Amino acid sequence: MKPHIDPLADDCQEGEDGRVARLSHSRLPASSAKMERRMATLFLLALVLIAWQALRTKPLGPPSLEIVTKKGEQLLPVAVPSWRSDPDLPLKLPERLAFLKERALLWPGVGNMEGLSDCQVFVRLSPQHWAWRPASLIQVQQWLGTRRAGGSVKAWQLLHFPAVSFLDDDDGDGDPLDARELLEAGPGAEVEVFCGSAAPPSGGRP
Amino acid sequence: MRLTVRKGRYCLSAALCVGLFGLLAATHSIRDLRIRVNDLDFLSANSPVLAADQAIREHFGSDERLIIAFEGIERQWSDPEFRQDLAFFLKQLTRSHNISQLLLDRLFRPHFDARDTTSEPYFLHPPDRPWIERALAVTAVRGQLAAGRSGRTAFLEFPALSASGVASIEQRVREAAARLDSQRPGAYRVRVFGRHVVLNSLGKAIFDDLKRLLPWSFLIIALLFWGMFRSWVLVGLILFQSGVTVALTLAIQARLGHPLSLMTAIIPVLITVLGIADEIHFFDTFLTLRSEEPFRSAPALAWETLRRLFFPCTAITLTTVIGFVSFWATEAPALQVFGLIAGIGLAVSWLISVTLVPTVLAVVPIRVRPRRRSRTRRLPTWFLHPAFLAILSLALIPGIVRLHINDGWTRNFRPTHPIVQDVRWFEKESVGLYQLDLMLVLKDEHRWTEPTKLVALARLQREISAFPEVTASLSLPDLLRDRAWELGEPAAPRPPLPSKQSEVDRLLGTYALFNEETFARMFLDRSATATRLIFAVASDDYRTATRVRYAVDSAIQKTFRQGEVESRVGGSAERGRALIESIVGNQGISVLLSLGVSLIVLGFASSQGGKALRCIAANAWALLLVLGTAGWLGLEMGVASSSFLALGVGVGLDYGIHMAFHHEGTAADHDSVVQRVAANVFIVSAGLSVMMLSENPTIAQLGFLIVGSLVASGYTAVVIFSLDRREKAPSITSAEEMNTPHPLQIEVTAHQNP
Repeated sequence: MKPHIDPLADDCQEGEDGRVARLSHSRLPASSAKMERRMATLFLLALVLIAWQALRTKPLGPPSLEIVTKKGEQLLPVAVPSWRSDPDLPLKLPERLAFLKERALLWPGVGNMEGLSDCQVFVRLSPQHWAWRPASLIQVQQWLGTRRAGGSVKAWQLLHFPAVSFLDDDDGDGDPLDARELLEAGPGAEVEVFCGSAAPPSGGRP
Repeated sequence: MRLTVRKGRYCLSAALCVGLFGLLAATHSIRDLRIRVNDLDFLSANSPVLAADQAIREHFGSDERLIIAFEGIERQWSDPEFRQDLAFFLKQLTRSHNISQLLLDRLFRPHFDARDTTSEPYFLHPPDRPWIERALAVTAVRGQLAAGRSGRTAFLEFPALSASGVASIEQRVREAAARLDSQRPGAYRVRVFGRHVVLNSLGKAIFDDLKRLLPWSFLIIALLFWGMFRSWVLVGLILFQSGVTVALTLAIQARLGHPLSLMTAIIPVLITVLGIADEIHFFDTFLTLRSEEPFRSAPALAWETLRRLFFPCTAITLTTVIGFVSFWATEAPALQVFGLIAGIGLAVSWLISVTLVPTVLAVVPIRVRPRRRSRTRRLPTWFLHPAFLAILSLALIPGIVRLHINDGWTRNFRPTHPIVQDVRWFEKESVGLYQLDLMLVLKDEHRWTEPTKLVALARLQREISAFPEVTASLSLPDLLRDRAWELGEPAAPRPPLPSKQSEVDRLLGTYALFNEETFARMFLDRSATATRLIFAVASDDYRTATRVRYAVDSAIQKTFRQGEVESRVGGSAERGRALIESIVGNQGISVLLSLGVSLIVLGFASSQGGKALRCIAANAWALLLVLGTAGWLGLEMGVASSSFLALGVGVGLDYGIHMAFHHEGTAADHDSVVQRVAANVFIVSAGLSVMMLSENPTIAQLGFLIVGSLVASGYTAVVIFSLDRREKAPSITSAEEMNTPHPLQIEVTAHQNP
């Protein structure tokens, strides 16, 4: 028969003076105290290890972002978007020049740019972007096929570069723009040439 | 100093109030706890695949992409209305400046046209339908990436810069799709794909899982404790302990800056259940002592209980902590953090067990409702006979040879989850989400732009692409041939690789000129000595990625002379493969370390090496049984599921320790321990079985395996430690034969009808 247990019996177990029995009263063998001490020591050691590891485990971050194209090699957006409408080009030359510079990439095969500060040439590649290259007066005249002694060019000219001419490289110098390939009349890609006062030395590419 | 019980209660109340305020202050940092799932966390910082990825990023740039699939339910992309609606969608989407700058539409992107027109005075023109059809048929890049195989989908691409950025883009895509839907109800479906999308979704799923499973585990524990002890005080105490343990652990995790991840998300449920294992013994021993010595004071009984259980409870906590801490030996940061936080959680729980619990037992009156009389249901003797264990082992353990490794991120979702549906759709409609990047660096003075090198690259690509697991491939030769075709006549076939260096340079030059330098740089580094080939794989699972990896290695050997090139393999598919291999391999290290350290600790602390060794043997045996069972059931080992091994060591050792180091000496006492172990197995298994309710199939599988390992550990421990008794006495005495009914009889007994 199971003895009846009064749930509040614990209260009644206090001594007559209302004090509890001494807590050191235990019926365990002495060897277990030794085991307890060892286990407690090991546990404390484990806690120290955990704390040490917690301090040295750094949270991981995402991998770094790498962009391998340098400034001027790539314009944004990444490629010519299909959803953008054609931009409105400023009519005043300085603003127009600045506008084109912002949207222009470097023309390939330019090589050494020294002495090429007479003119700035912009070839329109898409509705939204151009290719830029500096040029000397002589080069511009060569491309136009009008080179003659003492010849001059206008401060701003709108020329045209046929796609077929872009595809060939007559002189094999790596530059698709060769002599007599710029036309004053279209069709073809628009080429804007700023010379003299309209093309102030900019100290390099846009 | 002597303390009256009444004063003790006041002190306890005051301490609890102070403790609660302190707890509130400490848990304030939980608000900073972030949720992040990242596969990189599972790889060692020194892992070759991460080094390869880093090298690939440095040479070719970050190219992790987010793909937006714009699918016409009935319309084909060639339908003018499709294009018009896509333009509307894009205009809505590109209201955001950043999206406008970085979005890429390969299908309708302007192309070079050799025919000059006065109305469009430039080289690149919007494509018309015949040109796109031809480009899809002829080119590699447009053909593979721009449109879906059904002809009803256009794919848009976006660089995936960060997980939070991807979440923000997803939101904007949904908004743009909703605006389109209001104009054309039900005409289009927009999906977003990307590794970040899967991982973000997984982060959300694990948080939802946690919010659902944690209350269930609390409820189950409360019900089981009520069923066992019939005391609201004890049930309240256990819930308080579990709540405080979880709250403090999460607060510490947040303070240390570690996010809630795939692994750490299971910690709250684990420590809730594992943390209360001590209390089963505390409450049971306390109540047993009280029934045996009803005139002894409660504080004296509580102290006696603490003294009796301090060693086994500290030992089982310590061995469980060792089980978790053994994850530190792995090279995977995610597992290291998991081991650390789980270890901290258990330490917090132990601290409460040896301080608050005995104090409450000492000073709070425990009202135990009298239970109905019950009779003991004895475990069949054959079940505990060593011969049965031997037969079971012979039957199950050979299943280990059937085990194999397989995992993938989409396996963390149920097959009906939208993410899985979308990924499967994408695998059918396009190239699939996961890729393998092969970086080749020339070891001599040559450049990849040389025609002979390009031919070798094309040959290598053909070799690897012939494998059915490879769904698509892109390389530098593809870029050159695509551009050569674009610059030529549309009706012409795809041109061969250029045979002159100058032609190669000219074609590559157009990428810069057409504002597509990024495309070229993705495959050729600035010095032209390193190139990359990208292979899309059919699926994100380990088996597929492994086959492709072997195909890559063998093709490189066939194509290049020894020492001609240095190859490195990276990409999401390779990362997945490497991490699964690494995790599963690391589990072996972790288990062996855990068993070894536990053996040393137990042997040292108890000075009883033989018993300690038997504990370890019982545990290892149990794990072999579970592994064999998993093999027969066809379960595959993955990142989460293989973690049961280390967890099984940590938790399963408890039973051997209780069986080996209990204080009782008689056969009846031995039975009492067996019953406590059975109750412990039952309660902890029931608590952890909550994991089987997880929406994440791999966590559900982990729950099943852990529960299996607990049951097996309890069983092997009882059988092995009953051997001595068996030699001395022919049968195990049941609780029915004992003078004092055991408070835990409910677990192994059946109630009689009144």
